[in-house]
Amino acid sequence: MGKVKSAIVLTVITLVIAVLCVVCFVPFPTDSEGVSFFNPILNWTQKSSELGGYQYGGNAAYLGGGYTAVLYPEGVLSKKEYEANLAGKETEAEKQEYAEDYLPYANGALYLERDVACEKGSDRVSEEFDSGFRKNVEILKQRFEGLRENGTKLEVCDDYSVRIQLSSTMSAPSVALLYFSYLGDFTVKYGSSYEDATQAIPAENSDKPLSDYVKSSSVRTLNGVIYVVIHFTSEGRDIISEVTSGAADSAITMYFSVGDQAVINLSVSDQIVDGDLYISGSYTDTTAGIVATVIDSSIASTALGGESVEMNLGEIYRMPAATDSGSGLSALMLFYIAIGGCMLLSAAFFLIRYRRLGFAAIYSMLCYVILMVLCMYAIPVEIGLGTALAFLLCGVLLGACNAVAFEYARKEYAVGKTIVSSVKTGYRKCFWHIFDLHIALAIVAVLTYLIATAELASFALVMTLGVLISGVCTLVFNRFFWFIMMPLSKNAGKFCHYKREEVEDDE
Amino acid sequence: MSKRMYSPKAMWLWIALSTIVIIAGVVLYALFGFNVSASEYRTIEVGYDSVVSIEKLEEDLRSHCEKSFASAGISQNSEQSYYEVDVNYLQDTGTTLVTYFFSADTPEAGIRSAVSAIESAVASDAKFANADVTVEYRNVKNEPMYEAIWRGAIGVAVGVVVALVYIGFRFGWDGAITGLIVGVHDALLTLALLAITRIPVYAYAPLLFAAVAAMLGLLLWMIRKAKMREDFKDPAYSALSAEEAVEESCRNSYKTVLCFAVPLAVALIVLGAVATAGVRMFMLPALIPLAVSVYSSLLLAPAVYAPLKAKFDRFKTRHKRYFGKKKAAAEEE
Repeated sequence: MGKVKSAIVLTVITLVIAVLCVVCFVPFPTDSEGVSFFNPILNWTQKSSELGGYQYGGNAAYLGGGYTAVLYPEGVLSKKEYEANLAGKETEAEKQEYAEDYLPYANGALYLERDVACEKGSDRVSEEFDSGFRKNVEILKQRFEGLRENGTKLEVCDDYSVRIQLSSTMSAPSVALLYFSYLGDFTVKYGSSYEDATQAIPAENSDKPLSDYVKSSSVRTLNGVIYVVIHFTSEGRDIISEVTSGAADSAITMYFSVGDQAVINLSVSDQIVDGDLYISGSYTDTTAGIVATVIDSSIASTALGGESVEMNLGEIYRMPAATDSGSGLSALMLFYIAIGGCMLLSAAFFLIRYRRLGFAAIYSMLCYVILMVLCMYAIPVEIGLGTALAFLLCGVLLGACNAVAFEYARKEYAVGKTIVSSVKTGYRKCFWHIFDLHIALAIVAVLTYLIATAELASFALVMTLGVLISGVCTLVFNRFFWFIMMPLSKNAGKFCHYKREEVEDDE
Repeated sequence: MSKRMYSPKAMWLWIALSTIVIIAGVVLYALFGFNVSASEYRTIEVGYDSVVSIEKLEEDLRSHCEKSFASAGISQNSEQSYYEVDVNYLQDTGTTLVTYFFSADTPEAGIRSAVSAIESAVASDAKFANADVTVEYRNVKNEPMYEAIWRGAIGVAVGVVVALVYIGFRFGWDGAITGLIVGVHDALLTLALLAITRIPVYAYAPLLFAAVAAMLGLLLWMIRKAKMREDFKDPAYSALSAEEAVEESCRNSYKTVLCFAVPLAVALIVLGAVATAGVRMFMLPALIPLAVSVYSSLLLAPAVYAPLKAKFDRFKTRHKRYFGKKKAAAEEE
């Protein structure tokens, strides 16, 4: 390539990279008052709770990293609720009566209703209540784990309450908290109102288990409409068909309930004859998944038998962005500074070791960072600590592979080859090494992503992206940048900081 | 790297060393588990309504809390503010909850006395007369979610095995078996070191670090194996025994391993040093899988590979001889 052509191409590429850098990383005001800001793509990517939550709207404000709520079993009150109820009693006698009904538990953090949670005439928690609560914890764990969302946490507080933490990147967290708190047996009722509805499944006055009527529940998407599907057995289908036989004449409502809560109200105007009942509504993927999970786990837990205790959802709280107490800077800002520092160190290494050839490595590193941010935004992938580690690993892999390619070319140049031949031979010699490294890592990362869940799945996904982008950057971009930058220098050896081996003169 | 490092004796030395650490790790894990952050802890939750925020009394309340902690002789690990939102629209209601986190071994009496001290300080402070302030004390126990653990472990195992099949075809089965040993070893040794050192980590971190160790171990071993494959093409190597050939090749390739490991270590240290405590708690323990994979690729893997290569070479020679004889017989006929 000629010097002029090379300069033009390099200028164009530099401009493209600069524009992409601005679009990806630099916020700037778009009006003179500084009211509106251009929001770079990096700001739109999802962030985990450790890095300060996610971008809310266009005002560059980070909302909290997650939502948290406490679930109390029926018969258990928080101190706050107990005190509020007590304060609501008008007379001292009423207050005393109310206080006698409750047992302060765990240093007064919880109040247990004696009739519900305690053994008769004793301050001891009944075994029935205890086992019912333990069963609930297992069901809740199963439900929340089934979300496969990063940052989901379940904690037992003071033995008899459950605290849930959800990532703010999850859509519809309140739906998950509310619906997942519904515990109890799955029933199907029909009638004009929920209170007066007649139970259809399981058939009343029948000893048959629920599994004889309903198999499971799932989510299906057909022609862009998301459905919650309830799979009935032939016996269940017959009952539903019979119940809805008169629906064509007068519409009825069916109530699909978990415990005392109706999770689906279905207006039926035709007889249902299929075993798989497709129910549409204003569901999103997540909300349909939540409803199906609740029904499915309720069917499974009903089959297991045993008593379960109903749960009530307490207040929901959101967590704000994490900040460093020393500097006051947000975790995310410090994280960006640290990543920027690492990139500067890498750039310094390449510039010192390879002089102007270092710019080829810097350009390919910038391409890697830009492509990663674009991919993480488009897919989307949550930026968390695990994904940051994957990003770093692949960044270092890219840097190391670039250095390996430069070193192979250096060896070729040292033995007397021209720079063009050195680059060609160097790349030819190290191509399969670099290719094998990337392929093997990509295989591990892809399979881990397909099988694992939560943080490890996110790590593996970013690892897959990073390995692929690193491979392209080192084998294609890096060589291309080298190719267009080299003609700008008269002395190619000096440009790359390569030296010929000194040959001893025999004479 | 001296010759002794890759002899069969050295191999047993490295294996013994790793086995001792892994067994110690298993025992300590069985006894205490990992030092997973906040698997069990205590909290004091101070809730207040919008009156406190409007009258800007947050700092006063914070000061009451801190004085109460000091007088009760307890100190919090961290604190986090939570803002109450409504169920339907997730909009702030104006109620705030400041949670102070204490380790599980903080004396209960101290916590209780701090709660009483906060309550009496707020009650006696006239500024809080119109405010609704609640103070609650909780014992919290994290419930681990096992599906993520077993699925993650299976995912990494399947990934590593399939990658090793690829390595087997590309680099030979002796290299693939060594890679498998390295992957398993690195994952186990990382978990063992996390259990032994009791470094506080996030709940998901042990599994993630084990996966990172397996991947890094595989990566660094491939770097060494690639160099060996290139070197072994040199006719000068054909005269050497397997052990000598491995030793000769490894003499230079350790620089490439360090060329990858050192920048990664620097990056992790920079992130750990610059970022917030939450990020530090992840990035600095991430040095363990890196150190383990460097150890295994520099010392264990070549030592394991040398006798394997010798066996595979003998097998190949016998195989060649057998088929050579067969071919010759066929030609004679």
